[in-house]
Amino acid sequence: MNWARKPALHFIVLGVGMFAIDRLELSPPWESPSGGSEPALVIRAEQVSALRRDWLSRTGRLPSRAETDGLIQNEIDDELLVREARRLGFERSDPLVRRRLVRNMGFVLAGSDDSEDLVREALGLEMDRTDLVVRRRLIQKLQLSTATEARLAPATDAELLEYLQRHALEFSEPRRVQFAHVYLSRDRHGAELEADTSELHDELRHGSVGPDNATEFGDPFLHGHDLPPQSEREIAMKFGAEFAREVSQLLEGSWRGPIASSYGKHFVWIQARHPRKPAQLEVVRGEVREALLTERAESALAELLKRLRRSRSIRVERSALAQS
Amino acid sequence: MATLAASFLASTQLAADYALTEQREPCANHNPLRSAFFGDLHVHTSFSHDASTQGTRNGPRAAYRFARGARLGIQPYEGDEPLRALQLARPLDFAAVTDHAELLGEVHTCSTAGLPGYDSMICWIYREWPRVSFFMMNAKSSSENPTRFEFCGPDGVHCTEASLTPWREIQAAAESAYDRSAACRFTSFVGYEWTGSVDTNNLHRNVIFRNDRVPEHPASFYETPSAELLWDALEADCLKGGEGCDVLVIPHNSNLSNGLMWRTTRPDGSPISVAQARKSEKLERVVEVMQHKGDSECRLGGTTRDELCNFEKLSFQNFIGKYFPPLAEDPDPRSFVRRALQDGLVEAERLGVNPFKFGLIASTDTHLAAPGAVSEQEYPGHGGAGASARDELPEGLPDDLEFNPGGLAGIWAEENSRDSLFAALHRREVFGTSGPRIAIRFFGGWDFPEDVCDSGSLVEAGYSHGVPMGGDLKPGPGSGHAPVFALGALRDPGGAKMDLQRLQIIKGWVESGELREAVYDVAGSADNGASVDLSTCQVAGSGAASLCAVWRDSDFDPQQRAFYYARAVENPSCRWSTRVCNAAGVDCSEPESVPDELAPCCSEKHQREIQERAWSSPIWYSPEGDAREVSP
Repeated sequence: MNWARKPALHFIVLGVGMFAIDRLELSPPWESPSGGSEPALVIRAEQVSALRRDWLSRTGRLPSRAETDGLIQNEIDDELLVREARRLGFERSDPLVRRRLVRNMGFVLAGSDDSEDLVREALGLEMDRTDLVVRRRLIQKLQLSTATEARLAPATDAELLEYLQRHALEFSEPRRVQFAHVYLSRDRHGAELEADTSELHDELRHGSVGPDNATEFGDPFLHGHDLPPQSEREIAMKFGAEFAREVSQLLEGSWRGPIASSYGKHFVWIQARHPRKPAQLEVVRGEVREALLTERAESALAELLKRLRRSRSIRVERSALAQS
Repeated sequence: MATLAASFLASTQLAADYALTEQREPCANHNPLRSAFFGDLHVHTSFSHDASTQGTRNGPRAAYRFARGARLGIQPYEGDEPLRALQLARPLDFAAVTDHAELLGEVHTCSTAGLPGYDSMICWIYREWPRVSFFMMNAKSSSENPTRFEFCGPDGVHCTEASLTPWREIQAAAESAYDRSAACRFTSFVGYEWTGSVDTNNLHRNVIFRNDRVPEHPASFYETPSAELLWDALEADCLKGGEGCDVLVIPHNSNLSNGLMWRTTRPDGSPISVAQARKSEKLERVVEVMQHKGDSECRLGGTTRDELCNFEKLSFQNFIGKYFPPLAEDPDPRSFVRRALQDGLVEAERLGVNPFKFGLIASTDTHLAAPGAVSEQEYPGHGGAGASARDELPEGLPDDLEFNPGGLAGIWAEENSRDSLFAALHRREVFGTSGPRIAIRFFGGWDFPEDVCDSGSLVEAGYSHGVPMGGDLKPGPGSGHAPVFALGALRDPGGAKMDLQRLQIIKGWVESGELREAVYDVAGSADNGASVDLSTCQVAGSGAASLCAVWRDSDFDPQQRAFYYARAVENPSCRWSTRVCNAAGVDCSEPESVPDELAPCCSEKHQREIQERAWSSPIWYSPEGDAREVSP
């Protein structure tokens, strides 16, 4: 018996390895917030050139003036977020950032294995400002903590109600139509479908056929002939989207059509229409709360950027503007 | 006709009287004859270890927003920017996020600085070497008596504690996605996956709760290392423990269980007991017959000559077979649902209760938090066990060749609310599809009018003269009578708009101790001339927009237990992999022109053509009639 065919052995090997590393602990995070005042933010011409080159390499063409402006605005946002994250000391407290710094410094200062020293050295070299991975992590961490904090504040009834009123359409009970239909099957009528449809049309128009007699005409339909009040989306689920669109626009009180569906032709009698109804807060509270908190998180991020932009002077170098 | 409908309505007012266990508005769209709702009951998000180590960042809330129609950005990411996005053309009616209960606490610990254990080596590996972590953590939980990692503290207390945060978030996400207004746009269920996999043999089960009353802590494989212990915990913590708590269990991927998902013997070799069979029958009401990791309906070979079983089959017995190809074996015949249904008949004969009495659904098992993304046109990959798009898109195919976009769960219910849908799952009036929204109805009885397909009364007659899918045939009128089945299917009115090819009934029974099966084409035809051009994926010829049949079992023997289920099959179409291979211009007739990453396109295992399908739940016959619900 070949050893490789013993699954138990694989597990023992994996297990021994795991047992060994399962007992290892890494050094605990080491915190010490940084301070100091932030200087004005300047976007230099060479930064803009780099952004434009990066765009060129990704898309194969140079960015337009508007696109360059967009790149500059993004760069400003990123820089502001990185500075704010550093003001909050994230570059020292975040373990992922620390690990990255240690790894970077490991290449520079081969031989040293004191991680505190390495982090200090790295910060001295401003690696937390220049290393792309660190920058991304700092931005992400600030965004996450801002959003999380925004979601934590309780939502009062008044706030929920206000949100519901602003999004009344989205939460409202949709319009519904209740209808009966007479169906001609594509499968059964084949090439005769058009002719049989117009014959049935005459019959329905001239006879005294009401919606209650729908099942006596045409072909059987698995979902039935007399349906409960349904929204356009619910009709689409049973008959297809085009049919649903047409039916939701029909007038009440007589046979209309023919209307094509995924299955053949239909004559439709609208029996009742139920208008859109506003939603009651007590009924949709959970959904509204979730939507409100999401909105809060988004606006907290926007507010943060606005505040950061206000808090310092921002200058884009003249020669950089000339490039766009 | 009118009297039939009237008598039906009178009878269903009673039959449809499912218990109301929660506060909500009744739905405006309420249909006593029941409508088909489509959803996904198997969804992983960033809370699942195997999803997060593959770069999935979307959590339960994002998953529900996606199910309701929102756009979802997915991995790989550039910074915070997702490089791919998905959106459903048609939102789902319902979904359940079912993250793995086992590593909920571990994932939360390893990704939350400050929690005890965050600075352990294992967590460091999780953050720095996710692929290694994927194998390590899975291997660790794949033993008969799984223990937690050291960093979880004594008795795993830190990780158990840490799992409460994501478990509460899962509940909150379900609550905020649930539409309690009369519009009934969407239903969420609180759920989780119990991930038992001894020696990588897949015993996985999803646990779905009826409403927002759920146990304090999800019983995982750590606390309940066997299916029976899980059932006991759910009985104690939910059915008996919580007021209004109700639950069911959905086994899945039996195809990867190496024949162990549905055992008829205990580990010591003794046969399972009546008590065990009763527990199983009480909770395991529904099984997932198909999903990303293959089809579990049936497998060609032995007594199975049903060629349509040759559909989305994995070629190995469990994950050892996948990851260590020299150890791969053919899947065990007992790994398939049809066989379990047959074994159930044998057990019912022996014990008086059928432990394997399953309704059939399908779902996706998405690990991208993308419920219902089942299109063959844009398969983004499974996001769990297969190819990883964490750091960059895999070159060539977006996933391992043998995986697929998965299927949907269909439910026949009065309305789109938790109580109505759950009651339907419980009575097994459910069906599965391999992706398209095919609607299939199936009724069994003794005296259906022969003309129900022409009279338009199939559904009314189905309920008034028989039982729907998932039920037991009422006692027969006596010797000389055979059961009759009335069934119909409608093609998907949206999506790829493929026609149906045929409608079938599959019968399973036991004859003189031998397991038997037969497949009958009851409407449509395999020879309808429709085909697909595999080099362009253009379809030619047509099939049926709808199919209907009334079928009597002329080989019926009233002494033999039996089950019957229906299958609706589409015309042939291109599999997802064929579309990718074609788009890349692969020409298998010139092997040297095919780059390595597209070699699977030309593999002999590559099944280029599929026939999408829907499976109804079975209807059972037993000589003693509906005597199954023996109360303990």
